[in-house]
Amino acid sequence: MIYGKMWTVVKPTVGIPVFLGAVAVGSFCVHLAVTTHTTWVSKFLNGEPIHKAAASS
Amino acid sequence: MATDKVGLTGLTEAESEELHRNLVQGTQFFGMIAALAHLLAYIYTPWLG
Repeated sequence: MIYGKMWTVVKPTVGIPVFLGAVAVGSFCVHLAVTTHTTWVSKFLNGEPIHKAAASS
Repeated sequence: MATDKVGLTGLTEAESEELHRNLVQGTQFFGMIAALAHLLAYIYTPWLG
């Protein structure tokens, strides 16, 4: 494929941080969305066990 | 020879291909770790019932 040649056009000192930054921003957005649109994640992060049955046995 | 032709960034095509191979490999590692994390989340959390 041609993609290997992209670094002859895009400076790696620019392209790689932008690539990693985009992954980080995307990951942060997904984690934020999951945390704000579910109940069990925040409960888990506040120490409440997820599976009530597992916790009581 | 095409591979030692210097591009706009000063890298040769061979250097660019080498850098890209490592970047792709790193991204694959990231992907495998993420897949494992999703599997664990699927097993141990109420995600998807």
